[in-house]
Formats: sequence, structure tokens, C-alpha cells
Amino acid sequence: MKPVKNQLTDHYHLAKHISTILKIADQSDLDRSPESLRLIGFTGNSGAGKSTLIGKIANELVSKNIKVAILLIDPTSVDTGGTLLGDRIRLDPLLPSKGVYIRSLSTGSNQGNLPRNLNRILAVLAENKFEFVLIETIGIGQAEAEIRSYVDTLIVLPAIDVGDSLQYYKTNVFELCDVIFVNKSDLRLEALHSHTKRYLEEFISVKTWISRIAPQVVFGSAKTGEGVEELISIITRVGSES
Amino acid sequence: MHDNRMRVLVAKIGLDGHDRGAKILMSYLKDAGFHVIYSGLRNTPFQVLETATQEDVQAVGVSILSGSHLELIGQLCAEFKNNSASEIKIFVGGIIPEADIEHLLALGVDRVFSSETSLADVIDWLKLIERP
Repeated sequence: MKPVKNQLTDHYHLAKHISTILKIADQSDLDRSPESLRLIGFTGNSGAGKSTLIGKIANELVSKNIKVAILLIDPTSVDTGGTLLGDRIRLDPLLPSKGVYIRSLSTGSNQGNLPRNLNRILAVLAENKFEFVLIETIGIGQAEAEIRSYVDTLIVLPAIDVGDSLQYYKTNVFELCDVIFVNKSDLRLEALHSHTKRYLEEFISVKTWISRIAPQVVFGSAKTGEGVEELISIITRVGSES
Repeated sequence: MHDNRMRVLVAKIGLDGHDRGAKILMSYLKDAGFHVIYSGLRNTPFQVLETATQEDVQAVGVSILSGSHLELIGQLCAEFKNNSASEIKIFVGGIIPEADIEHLLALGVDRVFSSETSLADVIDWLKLIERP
């Protein structure tokens, strides 16, 4: 691991570089994400546990000497143009000292759910020898189709208090994602989780029957780390790109 | 357009769990069109420097109500100075006795807002220091 002071200097230059890219008015983005990066997207409702899960996964990857960057996206207010970027508070404050570069990004005036010039930002991270980039979307809605085109693995944290399995069939993200992480097993939600399990099992079996591919389902807790090891083995599997 | 608006970090340092004031400030800054990053409770001064650096902010606002502002803000200003981050402006708000304001400014704080300050004054000051 690099001395903390050197890291600070590296992160300073990287941060300035990204700011410059964000200011480029030209909306033309690079066509592709850099090949050398493994990109993992996280989506799900507000409060589903995306940031907490990202923090846990980042710590696991760092302990394997993998160089990690995190991009946390929050929505810019259409009315005022302001953004409250509050995802960092869920992350371990020691991550920067461990070499993890974390950047909060607003969607800005971009007509979408991702900041402008995202591929250029990813290219800079690749130049700086990052290996994994964990990207948190603004949450569920229309964001997942956009992030799908960028990432190798898309992990969704679903709502577990749904009335029936049809909710999973209706929502596009369950067709687009690679992994469904059913979170908050630490909250003693056995009853809810057993319903969710039944609904998802049905959904996955129908999906598999129709299209032969279906997302993997993992149960666990971003808070306690249950299930995180399984996620790590999925996202680090070579050639898992879909 | 909006994307070039100033990035501001709102931070809490030391053992101070009261963040109502910070939340009010953040909401107000967001409504005024700023991009506001919140680093959460109980950070160390060095962690605030790391976050400010990674996020490329122009200003850091520290809300402090614990009474340990002279010690902790002193450490914070030293971290920024020793790591060539003096271009980042530091402003402080919270429960700050009148007599301590001069002391904080001498430590390297750019502006102190007392609890009687109107939020509009904070916005005016930030607009004054905002760089393109």
C-alpha cells in the first residue's frame, strides 16, 4: 500500500482531472468503457442498502490488494440545479486511506440518470490503474437501462415488502440485472424474506424457462456482511461479462 | 449550466452527534443551487481533508457544537495547510463564543458564522468566493 501522503497527491490530481471532464460542455462521450476496468453497477430503491453494500464490497476487494474506485451518483434538482450528495456517510471513512478513490457525482444538466462524460471519467480511472469501479445509481426508476450499457455486472437490491411476485415481473430492472441481492437479513425479517424467497424463486424459474437466463439471487446483509463473499466471487469471476 | 456550480463539503469533526444544523445548511445550499457533499458524523480532521481532496470542493463548512472547536479546527487548518490544500476555503458554524472568532480566524479559518447568522449570509459569502 502507498504512503497516505502520496495517495493524497494522486487523488488530488485525479479529482482535478475529473472536474475538468465534467466541465466539458461537449456531450460527445467515448463510445465504450475501458476494457481494463471491471465495472459493477448497484441499483435499488432509496434506503435499500446500496451504499452500505458498496462499502462492504470495497473493503473486501481492498483486502485482496485490488485497486478500487467508487462513483456515487445523486440526482440534481430540476428546480434549483442543486444536489445533495449524501452517499459517503454510509461508507467506511478509512477507505480513502486504503487507496480507494471515492467521488460523488451529480446527474447535473444531463438529460438522464448518469453524469455527463461518464466514459471519459472511467477512462481516467483506467489510466490511473484502477481495477474495479463500483457505481451507485440514483436509485430505481429508469436509471438501470442506462447503467446496464456501462457495467459488467449489475446488482439490484429489491424491495422486500411487496405483496406478490408480479412486482418482480413488471419491473424492467429484474430482466436487466445479473444479481438480485435481498438485503437486511440482520433485521429479523424472516417472514418478509420467506415471502420474497418464494416470489423470487417463482420469478426466476419462469424467467429461466422462457429465456434460459435469469439473475442469480443472493440473500444477506450489507450491514453484517452476510452474503458479501458470494457477491465477491460473482463479480471477480473471470469472463462473467454478460 | 448547473454542472459548474460550486462543490461544497459539509463536515462534522470529533465527538459531536448533533447534525440538525448541518442538515438545515445542506438543504439550504442545495436549494440555492450548490452541489453539497456530506461526509457524516465523527470524522477526523485528516479524513475531512481526504474527502475534500477526493471530491475537489472549493469550500468546507464545519458545523461544530461540542465546544472543542479551538482544538479540532486548529488541527483541521493545520492538515489543510501542511498538505497544500490552502486553496480550499474553510468556514465554521455552530456554537462559537464571540471571543473565539478572532482566534479561529487566526488559525486559518476564512469565515465564522455564529448561530444568529442568517442562512442568506452564508450563500452570499459562498457566491463571493466561488471560482468558475
